[in-house]
Parts: sequence; C-alpha cells; structure tokens
Amino acid sequence: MIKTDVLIIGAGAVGVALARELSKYKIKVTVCDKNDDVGGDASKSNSGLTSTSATMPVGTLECKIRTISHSMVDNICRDLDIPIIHCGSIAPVLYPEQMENVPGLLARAFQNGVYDYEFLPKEDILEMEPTLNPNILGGIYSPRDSQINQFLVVVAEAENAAENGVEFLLDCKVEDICVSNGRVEKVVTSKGEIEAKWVVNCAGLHCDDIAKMVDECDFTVHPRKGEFFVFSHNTPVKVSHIISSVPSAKTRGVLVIPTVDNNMIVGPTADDVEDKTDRMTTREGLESVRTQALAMVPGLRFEDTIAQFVGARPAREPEGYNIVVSKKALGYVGISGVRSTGLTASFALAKYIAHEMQEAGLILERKVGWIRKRRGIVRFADKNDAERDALIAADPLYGKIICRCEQVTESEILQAIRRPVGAKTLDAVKRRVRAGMGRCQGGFCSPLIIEILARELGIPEEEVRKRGAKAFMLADDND
Amino acid sequence: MKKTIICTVCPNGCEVVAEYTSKDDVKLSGNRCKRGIEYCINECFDPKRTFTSSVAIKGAARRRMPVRTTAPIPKAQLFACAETLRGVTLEAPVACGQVVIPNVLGSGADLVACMSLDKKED
Amino acid sequence: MKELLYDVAIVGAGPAGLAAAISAKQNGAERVLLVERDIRAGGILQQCIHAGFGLQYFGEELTGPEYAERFADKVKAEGIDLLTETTALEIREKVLVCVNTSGVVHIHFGALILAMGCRERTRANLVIPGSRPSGVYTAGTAQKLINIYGHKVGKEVVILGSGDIGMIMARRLTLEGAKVKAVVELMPFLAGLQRNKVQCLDDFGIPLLLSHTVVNITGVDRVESVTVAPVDENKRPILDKAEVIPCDTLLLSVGLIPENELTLTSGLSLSGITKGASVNQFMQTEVPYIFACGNVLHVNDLVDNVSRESEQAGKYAAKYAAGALAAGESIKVEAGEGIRYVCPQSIDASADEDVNLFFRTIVPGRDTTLIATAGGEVLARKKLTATTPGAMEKLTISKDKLATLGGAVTVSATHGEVLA
Repeated sequence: MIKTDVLIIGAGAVGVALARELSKYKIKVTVCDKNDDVGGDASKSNSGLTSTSATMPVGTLECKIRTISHSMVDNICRDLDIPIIHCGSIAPVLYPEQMENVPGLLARAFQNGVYDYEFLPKEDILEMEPTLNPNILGGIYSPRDSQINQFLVVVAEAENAAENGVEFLLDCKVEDICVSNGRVEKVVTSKGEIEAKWVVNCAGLHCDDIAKMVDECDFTVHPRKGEFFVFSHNTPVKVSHIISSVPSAKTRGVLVIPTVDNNMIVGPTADDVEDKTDRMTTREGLESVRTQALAMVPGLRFEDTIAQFVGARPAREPEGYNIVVSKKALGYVGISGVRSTGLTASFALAKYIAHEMQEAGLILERKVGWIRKRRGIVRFADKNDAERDALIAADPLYGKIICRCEQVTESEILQAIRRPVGAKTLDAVKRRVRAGMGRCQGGFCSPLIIEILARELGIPEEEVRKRGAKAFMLADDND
Repeated sequence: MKKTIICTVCPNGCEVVAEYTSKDDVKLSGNRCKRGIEYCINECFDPKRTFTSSVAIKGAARRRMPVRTTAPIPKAQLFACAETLRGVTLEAPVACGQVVIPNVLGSGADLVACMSLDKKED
Repeated sequence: MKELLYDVAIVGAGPAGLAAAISAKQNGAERVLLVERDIRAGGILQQCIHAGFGLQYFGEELTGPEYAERFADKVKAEGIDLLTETTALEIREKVLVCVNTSGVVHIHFGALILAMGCRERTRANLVIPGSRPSGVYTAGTAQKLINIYGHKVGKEVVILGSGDIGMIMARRLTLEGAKVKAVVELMPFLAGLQRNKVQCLDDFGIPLLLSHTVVNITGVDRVESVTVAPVDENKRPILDKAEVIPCDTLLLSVGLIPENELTLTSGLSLSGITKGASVNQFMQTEVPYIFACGNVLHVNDLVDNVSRESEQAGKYAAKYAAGALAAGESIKVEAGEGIRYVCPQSIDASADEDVNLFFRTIVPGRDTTLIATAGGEVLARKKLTATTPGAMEKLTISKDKLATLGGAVTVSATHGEVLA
C-alpha cells in the first residue's frame, strides 16, 4: 500500500500548483487523477486567458486570491519556461446599451485595484486593433491581460513537482475515502488503497462527488459548457489583442484570443448542463460563438478553423471559492467553487491552501535544495538554421520531422514521453509539443506517433490511446 | 431473366437493362453507346473483379506488401481470397511482380506482389 | 549547414515529383534532385493498393504501388538524386531549406518544382458537432493505417463523403471483415467515379445516402454513434428526420486541399478556388523560377493526368534553369459558365506548343458542350455525352491560335440536360 503525507485528488491547475508548493517541504506528496494525464478537465480545455480582477465581484475570496495570483504569473512563467504573451485586452462597445454598462465596470475595476482598466475612444481603439468592427462606439482597454499556454502551465508545474519528489498516480480514480476515529485514514482508488494523513480534494468538476465521501458536501457542482473554435496560423485576419465582449451581469460573453502558438481561439459559450461527461459541441453553440465573434471582428474567416472543442468549467452552487478544513474528518481539505478563474488564481490559491493546512496542523519544514526552475522542451520550429544544426548535432532525431504542420521532431516527442509525468497518449503528446495540433489534425502524424508511443511505453500499438480509459486508436484483433 | 447494370466503362454511367435467356440471347436497353456491351454481358453471367489487398512482410522497411491478382477473378471469390491472405507472411526481399500465391483459389489468376521491398539493412 | 547545388530541385517524390524529375532530366537538366520526407519514393500511391491506375498513361491497369514503381525505377536509371527522410521547411529566395538527421540542408537551385501533393479535409473543417472520441479518421489516414501499417481501424463504420478514397476504403474495410453501414454524401450526386460506386459499394450492398450529412458524433472515449440527417436544397440538415447509426468508426472522405504551406513561404499567393498557386501552361507560377504540378496545384482525378502535367513542369523548369525560357505576353484564362476552375490560369502567348486546358464542371450533366473562347472567337470545342464534376475535362488550343488571341480565354460548359 502506498503511504503518503498529503494526497491531492485531481491533477488540474489547482491540484498541481498545490503539489508544487508542498514539494518545497519535508513531506511526502502524492497526486492522483482519474485521467491519463495531468491537466484535469477544465484546466486543459480553456483559452489560456490570464487576466486582472477588473470585473470580479468586489471583496470576495476569489477576487483577492486572483489579484495576488495574477501578479505572480510572470515569475512562474519565467521559472517554469511557460510561453506567455502580454497582449492586453480590448472590450469593444458595440451598442449604446453596452455603453451604459461602462461606468459601472470602470468603477468596479477601480474598487478591485485595477487602475489601468480604461475606456478609450473609438479612434484610438481602432488604431490599436484595426480588425475590429469600424462601427464600434469605443472600447475598454485592459493592458495587463495575457495569454499563456494552458496545457504547459500544468505540465510544467507537474514536471517540476515530480522533480522535487511528488509522486503522480494517473489513470487512478478515487472510489472512496475511509475515515476512522474522526480522521481520514486511507483512500480507495482504482489502483489500490493509499494511506494518507491529509487528503486534499482538488477534483474540480467532480469535487462534490469526492466531498460526499467524507460528508462535507453542502453544495452542488455542474458543468458549464463552453464551446470554442481554434484557427489555423494561416488565416488572413488575426487579432493582436484579446477581444472580449463587454461583460454584462449575466456573462462574460465570447472572446477572440491571440495565443502564444499563433492560433486564435474563439469562444466560449456558457451553457449549464447536467452530464459531467458531456463534451459535445453543438450546432447552436458554435453558431452563437460565430455570430458574436463576427460582430466584434467581422473579418474572421471561420473556414480556417482547424478544431472545435468543449471546456467544462465547474459551476458551484452556491457560487464562490470555498476552502474547507474539515472538523468531521480531520485531515480532509476540500476546495470547491474554483471556476474559469482557476488558471490565473491557482498560484496564489496553492499558497493559501498550504497556509490553511499549516494552520490546521500540517508541519511544513522547508527542504534544502528545492528546485525552482524547469526548462521546457526546446522547439525545433522556433529555431534558426544554426541553432537547428546544433540541436541535430546533439540529437539527430531533432532532424526528423514527425508533425509536418507544426514542425515537431521525433526528439521533442520522445522528450514529451520520457520526461517525469510523461505523455502516455496521443492527446498528451499533442498538449506537450503540439504534434497533431495543426491544420491536418494528426492525419499525417498520428500513425507515426502511435508507433513511437507503443515503442516507448512497451505496449502493442493497438493499446495506444487517443486519451482516456478506452479511447483506443486502433481496432486490431487481439490474437 | 432481367437485370439492371450500371455500366462503368465510360463516364456516361448508363443504367442498362439486360434481358436474357442465355449468353447468346442478351437484349440490352438503356445504353447510350456501344462500348459497354461486353461488360454488361459479363455482369449478367460471370462478374469478375481484380482483387487487391496486402500481406504481412518481414525483414523489409515496410510491414505490408501490396498484392493483386494478375487477372480479374469471380466476384464471389473476393471474400475467400481475403481470408486466404490472413495467414501469409512474406520474407524480404520481394520484387514487384513476384508470385505470392499461384492460381489463387483455382481462379487461374496468380496473386503477385505490387512493390519491390529490399531486405532492410540494420 | 550542408550546401547543395542543383539545376532543378523538386519537393516531393510522389507521382508528380517523379514524373517532373524524369522530364527535367530528359529535357537537359543535368543535376536534378528529389526531396522526399518518406523513406522511399512513391508518395500516396504506396497506400493506394487498389487497381485503376495507368489506363491512360500506360494503357494497362495497375495498382498505385506498381504505377509509382515504374516511375521510381526510371528516376534511378536516369541518375536523378533522391534525398529521402528529408523535410523541406522553407523557400528562401532561390534556396530550398530542408532538414534531416544530418542537419539543415540548403539546396540552391536554378528552378524549383513544387510537388507536395495534398492533404485531407478534416472533421474540424466541416465543423461537425458532437464529442471528440477516438475512431474519427480521414479516409486516407485509415488507408495508411490499414495498407501500410497492417492495422484495423474499426468494426462498424460510417463513411461521410462519396469521394473515391472513401468508397475504396468501404470495400477494403468490408473485405477485411468490418461492417460498413452507410456512405453518406451531402450533394445530390456522387463525388467520385461511378466505377467505384459499382465496384466498392454496390458489389457489397453498402447503402449510399445522397443529400445526407452527419450532424452529430457521440462517444466519450471511442465513437459510439453518428447521427445522419437528410439535407434540403440549401444543404441545411432536416433535423427532425435525423437517424442515429450506432458505430465505432467514422471515416471522412470530404475533399482534399493542396498542401501549400511551403509555397506560402516563397511569397506566392494561392487561388481561392483551387487552393493552389496560379500557373501558365508551362506550370510556371508567378515567381518565374518556381513551378508547380500535381495535387499541390489542383486536385486531380487521375494520376495519369498528374504525370502528364508534371512532365510539362519538368520540361519547362529544365528550360528555365538553362536560361532558355523567355517570358512572352501573358493571357488570362477564366472559368466561365458551368466551370469551377481552369488550370492553367494563364497562357504565355509566345509558346510554340498546343495548350491543354484542364477544368472541372460544377454540376453533372448529359450532352455537354465544352468551349474555349477569346474575344468572341472559338478556340476549342468538344461535345461529350456526359460530364461530372468528379472528372477532369480537357480542351486543347492549337498553337497557331496563340499569337492572335484577342484577350482573356474563357472556358464554359453547357449541358443538354442537367443531372441532379
């Protein structure tokens, strides 16, 4: 049986950030997740937006933590080699009714300490972002909103945490938490029992299911589905700022987002659904994204879309970040209510949770020699001829292109598989090094990557999965 | 007997109706040209197809060797032909045109390799 | 950096590249190089193991690998260099930048021929709603997994698109023991050749649903079903007539797109219709030292046409590299009534050779008159008993008419009877 000091359930943004934070101390930390890869559900399927707290509800824990966390993002990106673009955001005002919301938004931003959230006249906005609808009435400019590679945030933190001694158990579903004498004792998983002194529920969309296991669930969680389009690099009209709808009381609306990888992301919708496994894009949803985006950026060429996907944000009722240090089941810590703001908020939230646990008796004694930095996988595509020659001289597989669309080499794919918390599925490879992320969507490279994965993992090719439990790529007879 | 055939000999793609009592007594209607007459008669009595597939090969840079029959074989034998190949594994080198199975299923046609695959050098 | 020098460099050793290379060599280019990312020459033909190739070019019916091997053997015999497992990355003026496991390779050329072929349209290009499970393949990827790797891709299959690859895969999957439940086509007519419908679908009793499309995909891990609905005359699905088909695999045979990302690095722009570069009858692009041929230029129906067109590219690239191709007056070629596009898009009027115009009609029809005119004068005319958008048509303008062309050339088609 595995024994650990802290078991974190859920390898999404919050769980992995907490694991990295706790890896600084002389305790054993284990992370388990039902998925085959880190990145959770909501944490990997979003637009990678990291923004200020301008539009947050004033005075909430969420607002406080996110404000602090946003100021930590640049250092995290530097330490962990995570791509980020500081593109700023613009919310174009399209109709007179939207104009009526502007003073309230500016006032709230001021209250939240976001002093550089400003309304600019139409002419200035159009000069900054000529792709916008020329009939706008003006726009709100927020210079510190950025976009990060959301996959790499979690992967980088996980790799760094693993290097600092955290153990990751993937394809490992929590089935029950055993409490005895008012303390958590062990966790029953699909991979056996884990004895843990502390159990931290960072299960996001599924945090209510976990909370019920220790009778600490006075809330519900359902998925709020968001549908997105991803655009090809080669589309003619591209935005240089994050373009967001003017927030209304109901929704943040659709955004058009430039990304670190030069693929625009357009979305999301916000539909409350019941089924936690529902990742279906819909005709109506995609059409509504299209219409809203075109109203802001009329030149967008939707025929250049290379993918559509669904993100499921956990929607808690009642709303709001909630951190429970259980009195009924000592050692249980429940995190809930972390929604789409979680990617930005996770860095400070990890600190906050660690502090709460320390207050409740967890002894945090700092290790010597904690490794702060992690280097990313060097991308062939980003390099010039001389740098490429040097890479190939050191590793000839840097000269073997596997994904032609994104120019990803075999060396990069092997690193993605061989690193700590390495990729075991096609989607996991894709998230780490972009192989299969391009215009042909893996049509060319997936047979090659199946071959590489099988070889590296020591499994037959028909056992290679796209992702998840039974998402096998092939249907060979097992004889 | 009456049979409707879509003629594939030219782009017209005529829907040809064949009425017949024997091979020597076939009446065709609906054909807009004469090029497909022989094809349509064959479709009534003895439809044949060229069979193509691939078989396993060892010791080459590829895992599969494409194969074909040297002549069309009766349509009814296509599945049996596919079944015959399942247990076959070739050993490189194999040259294009090399016979893999002579007179496959007694059809009179040989099954031949369609690619030259050398022995892989390690 | 390795620096290499060639008269004619060709990107891609598929059918287009192979034919172009042989022709360049035979027309006087001494140093000819083929750059290929695969381990051997042949391109997509290696996985097209079915028969039906070469009837026009060789006068006999060959499989794809056999067709390719004839050209590859000739390339070897002609002493043409073939650089395999090498990827072309960028065109930098008159240098082709490539990479392989030995490092970055700069290929300096007199003329460059683009012969990269095409890629398949994906599910995302069509924006098919639903979940994103495993088991959704483009037909060509499935073909590669089956024919090159010896895998099976699924047991119960629905195929969207009645293109030739889709239909050929329907037969291949059936013979390999899978159940193909339907081939679904958005248009009211077949996208591929009639012959393939008969031999690949009808022979095996596979239903073809014309004027239908896939409107949903379900399955969390692997495909569990697809929903198929008829479409109205505006191609909008009629959702209350939708039907759920349980299956574990969806194959897409919904069109090909010329693979022109390398082309764009040279500064060339692409035609909105063909998605390829624009060329004159020498297969010369608007950048005079760059030529293009085969499916990278426009998606062809028959490889035989690709070979012919590529020989033209090879010949004139060799002439250009030798400094023997002077530019004459350029006359535009336009698609008129009933025509989707014409290739070449312009004619160099100084040529001393008949000009072949290749084009596709928009809808299928019977008793079709094809006509090329310029300034009111009829340059070429042909009457066909039937035409279909699935097949490439051709008109030839005689060389003695070139010097006196009175303005742009327009190709048009009028059907005696429009089908579907």
